[in-house]
Amino acid sequence: MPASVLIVEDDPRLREAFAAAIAGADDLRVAGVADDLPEGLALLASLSPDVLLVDLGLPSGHGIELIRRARAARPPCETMVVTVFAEEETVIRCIEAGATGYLLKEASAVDIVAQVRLLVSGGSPISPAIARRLLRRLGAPREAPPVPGGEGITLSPQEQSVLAYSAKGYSYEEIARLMGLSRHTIETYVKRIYGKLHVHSKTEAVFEARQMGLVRD
Amino acid sequence: MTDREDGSRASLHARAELETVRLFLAHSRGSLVAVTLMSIGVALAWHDEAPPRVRLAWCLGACANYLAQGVLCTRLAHALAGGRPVRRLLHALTTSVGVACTIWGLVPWLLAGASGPAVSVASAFNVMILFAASHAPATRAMLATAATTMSLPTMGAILHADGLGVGALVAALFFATIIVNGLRLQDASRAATIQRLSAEDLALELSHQQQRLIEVEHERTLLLERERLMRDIHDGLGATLTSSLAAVEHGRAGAAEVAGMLRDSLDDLRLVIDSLEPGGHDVVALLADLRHRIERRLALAGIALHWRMDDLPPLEWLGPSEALQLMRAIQEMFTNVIKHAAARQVRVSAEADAEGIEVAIVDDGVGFDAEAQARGRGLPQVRRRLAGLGGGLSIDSSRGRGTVVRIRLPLARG
Repeated sequence: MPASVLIVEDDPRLREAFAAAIAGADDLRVAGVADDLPEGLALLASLSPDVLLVDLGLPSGHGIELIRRARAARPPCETMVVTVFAEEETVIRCIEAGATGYLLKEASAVDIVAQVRLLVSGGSPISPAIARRLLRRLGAPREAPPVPGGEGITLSPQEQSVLAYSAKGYSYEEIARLMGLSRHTIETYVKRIYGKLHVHSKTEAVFEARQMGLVRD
Repeated sequence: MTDREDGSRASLHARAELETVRLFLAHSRGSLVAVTLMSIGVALAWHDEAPPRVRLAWCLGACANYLAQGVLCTRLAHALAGGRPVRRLLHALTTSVGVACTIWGLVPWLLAGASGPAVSVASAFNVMILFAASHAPATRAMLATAATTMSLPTMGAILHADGLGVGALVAALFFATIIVNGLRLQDASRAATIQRLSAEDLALELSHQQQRLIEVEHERTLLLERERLMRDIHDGLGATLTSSLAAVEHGRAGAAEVAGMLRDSLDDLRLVIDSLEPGGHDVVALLADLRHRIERRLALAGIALHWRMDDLPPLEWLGPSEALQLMRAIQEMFTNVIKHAAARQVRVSAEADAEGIEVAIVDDGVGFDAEAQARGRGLPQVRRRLAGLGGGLSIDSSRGRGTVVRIRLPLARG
């Protein structure tokens, strides 16, 4: 069964390029196409796609709302954000909101299909810059008291190694060889790390809201 | 003194006066309570010397005045806190002080019909009250009012009772001494307050100047950084886009070529953005980012990349501008491999020793004559960039033998 992809992109040329690339792959199909936030939200609810491909800079608003909805959707929907520079600040914020992948706007059809397949197979992409930022974040000692009832972000030693190698510039293939694991395993490790970051940021937000008396127990 | 100095001197005096009033108000509550109790006590004490009606009237009159004074003090305090004008309240207060002192000055008169010593005791009492009052913080007007309204009636009572005798002379001497002393005290206190206010003004001015200095410095830094950024973007993107535009307009470039040039521009823009990231002075981060960016192109060219990277010491001199130059230089060397080497493999590694860091790029391609073909490979520019960083480039290559490129970077720049 081909995985269904919802494309939310306001630039018509890019939209066509994405749609064409997805349509060209046998194991993927285009579930729907939207050019703005409200339509995207509606299609997300009605189509229940497997993958959401979303551009952050939409005319009506920031695409991050779509990411949150997709993450909360049942059945689960993977989100890939489309970004021009993939600067780690933006990508990490999207990961915290629930995205598990990112794609460069200039990506070729081959790249697009490969990345969507990676997501569907349970993996996630990463860059040295993102790995560095994650290491900095998770390596710092926690100043605030531990969030009650929530899991702090503790990475397993394997996950730490993956980030450390990635920060040094090693590719997935090389990391797999260095750690004696399959490439697919490394890809899923990265996705797990992203998942932990998302859960932690959600828990942190609820904790803070409770502290401020905004959320009742 | 200049007009400005005159003006600021006057304002200092005015502020010092307000300080004095504040101090007075701070004491006022306590002293009003004390003096009320004292009046009641005195009225009770001279039950032999004066009829009850007189004592009651005197006591009520005194207390009524103290009450009025209390109300005036409270309103004055509010007015000061609110920054409102206090002139009229101050006059009223001074008047009430005069009334209080007159009431005390009356005591010797009221006791005139009684025994002789009563007048002396009452006068002595008044002298002591004036002595205490002259030490309290007060304005010039208050001191003058208190002195006159207290001393004159008292002196009058003494003269009336004893005539111009020893008692009168002694009392006059006491009053004169107290008044003179009081005036001196006020002057000294006023001078001290003015000095303090001047010092505070100076400190404030200094802190303002420091703030201004910090802002100017900050602006300068921003300006320099902006200029640096514009130069860097102009060098890379400006040049590429301009030549792409020229090529397209003169019909010299096909679609694929234009796409390539645009991709190069995007790459350079990414390079600039990468260089701005606060990755610190880490060469590993720089090399890792570069690899991530050119990986696809190496793969497309069918070149297998072997990467060996470990932790390297930080380079203190590697700021954003330097990082950009270094990345451009290394990128150029990679581009050479892709375009000219026809290689199957390229090995990239970096090592540190006592002097610095060496990045090695080794390919198994066709090699080239490093001297003769330097220009075609953009080597002079690469050398220039690296020299600007205090580093160097060495190439070991010849036709058919592959190429070894070593880029040296110093640990510290002299």
